[in-house]
Amino acid sequence: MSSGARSSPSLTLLLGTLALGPLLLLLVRSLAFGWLWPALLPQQWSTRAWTYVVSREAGVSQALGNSVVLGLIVGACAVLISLPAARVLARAEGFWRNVAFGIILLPVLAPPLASTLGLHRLFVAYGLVDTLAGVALSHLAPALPYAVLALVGSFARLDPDLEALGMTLGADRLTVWLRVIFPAVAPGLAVAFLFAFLISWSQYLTTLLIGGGLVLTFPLELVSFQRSGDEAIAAALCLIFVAPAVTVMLVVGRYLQPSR
Amino acid sequence: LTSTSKRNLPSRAEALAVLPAFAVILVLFVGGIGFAFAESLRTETGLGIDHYARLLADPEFVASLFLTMRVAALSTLLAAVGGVLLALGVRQSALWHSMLLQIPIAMPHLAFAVTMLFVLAPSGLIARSLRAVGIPLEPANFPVVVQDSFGWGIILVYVLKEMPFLATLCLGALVRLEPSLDDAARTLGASRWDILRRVTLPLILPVLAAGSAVAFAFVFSAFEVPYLMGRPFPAMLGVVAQRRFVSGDLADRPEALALAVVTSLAAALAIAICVRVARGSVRDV
Repeated sequence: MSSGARSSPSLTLLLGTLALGPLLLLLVRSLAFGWLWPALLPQQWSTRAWTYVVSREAGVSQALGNSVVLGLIVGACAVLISLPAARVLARAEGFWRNVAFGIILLPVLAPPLASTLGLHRLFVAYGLVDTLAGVALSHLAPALPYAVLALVGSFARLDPDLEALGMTLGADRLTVWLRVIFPAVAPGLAVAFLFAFLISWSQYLTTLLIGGGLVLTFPLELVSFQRSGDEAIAAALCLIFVAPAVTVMLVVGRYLQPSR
Repeated sequence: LTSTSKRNLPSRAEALAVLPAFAVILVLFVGGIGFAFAESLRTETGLGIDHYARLLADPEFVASLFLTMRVAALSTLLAAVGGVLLALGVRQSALWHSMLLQIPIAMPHLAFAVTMLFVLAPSGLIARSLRAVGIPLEPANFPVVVQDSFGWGIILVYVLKEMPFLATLCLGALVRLEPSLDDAARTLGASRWDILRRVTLPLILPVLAAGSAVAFAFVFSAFEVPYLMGRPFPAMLGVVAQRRFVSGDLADRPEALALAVVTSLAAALAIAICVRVARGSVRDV
């Protein structure tokens, strides 16, 4: 893998600190008991924070459940919506391609603050404010571009002639989708779902505003524990919060590397 | 058989296929911004820019506008410089170096801010480390970088978070650079600095400009990080907008919407400028 590649120790140290330092610090902080000033390392260890986090009285499981349900809904919807769009966009050309990508990528380029505040006013009229459905809808726009991008890559590698070939061999449209298209884009489909899930998983302001504090998700719980000042519990929650994102990135990251 | 002939308009089937995706973006995103803009223009007497005028006369808004511009500009600039240096360093090193780069990108901003609070707080890891090497320091006289009035804590979080993101973008551009181009320039007598200035930087500038614009826009309307790392006054625009929106006083809402619209305009402006920079640099090459 590293044939002919140099890796300077200082660069390794820098990257290692940036990547693994936060995770290590969170782990140590979650297991440290007391850790009074000015001790550099904790004198006592305890699983208190972790025991509390998984216990019923912490109320974390409900927030965790909401976050997972929201992620699954947003992931599924984003994949369903981006599947036909990505197939067409992968083969689109010229002006129409630019316009289409311009529209789809808008939520990546422009921040969600204004749109979420406007959406709140809009959702009031439809009774969607303070509901899980409303929150899921507010997560969909930021998640969709990433799902489309992940799928466009897969469709770009799929030869359109293969679909046509299936048709000439007598397969109907559904069979072509099931037997030709789905197997070919399955990895992209998985990545699209995971990206959409992660975008929903890490939403904070959209959930806070549209959910009105009534739809409690994991990041909201994390911030309220952080504000309450219990550092060990905040660290444990934070570690759970980053786990899905880091796991997905390590698994999927290889596909996203620029080929060299 | 293939439908990829050079056409500028989609077929009916193609339009139908992208319709759901367009609907989501146009209703849930563009519609939201449009609604926010429309509501921000509604006044007691009809339509007008009263709420914007009131914002400009509001010292809290002016203070947070300056803070927001300072934080967004400084963190984008430092992250861009750091990102280029990081990309140049990682470029020739092992593959797992660029894999390591993905972990901070994957970490949500909120999680990064929570972690950095443990590092930067007056009794945090840095203060403890300085004390451990013999510097007589107490939490009370540790330089304030968390909830400081300048916004250093927020800037630091964004620099560390956006640096790997911009570095990854630059790496994507650098892999397109033939190593032979470097060698050719060197045999022609170009110094390392010449190569960097004439070959490498022009190559990565378009993608760096685009990435910086996205980062700037993102920081400009950020909420979580300034909410945790910043102080209540002056707070960044996103925090002020949220606070006014949820405040019991309904009269504050149009002002919150006006604030949010201002952040969107700033984002659009940043992107427009960076597109120009990117275009210009392409023409220069």
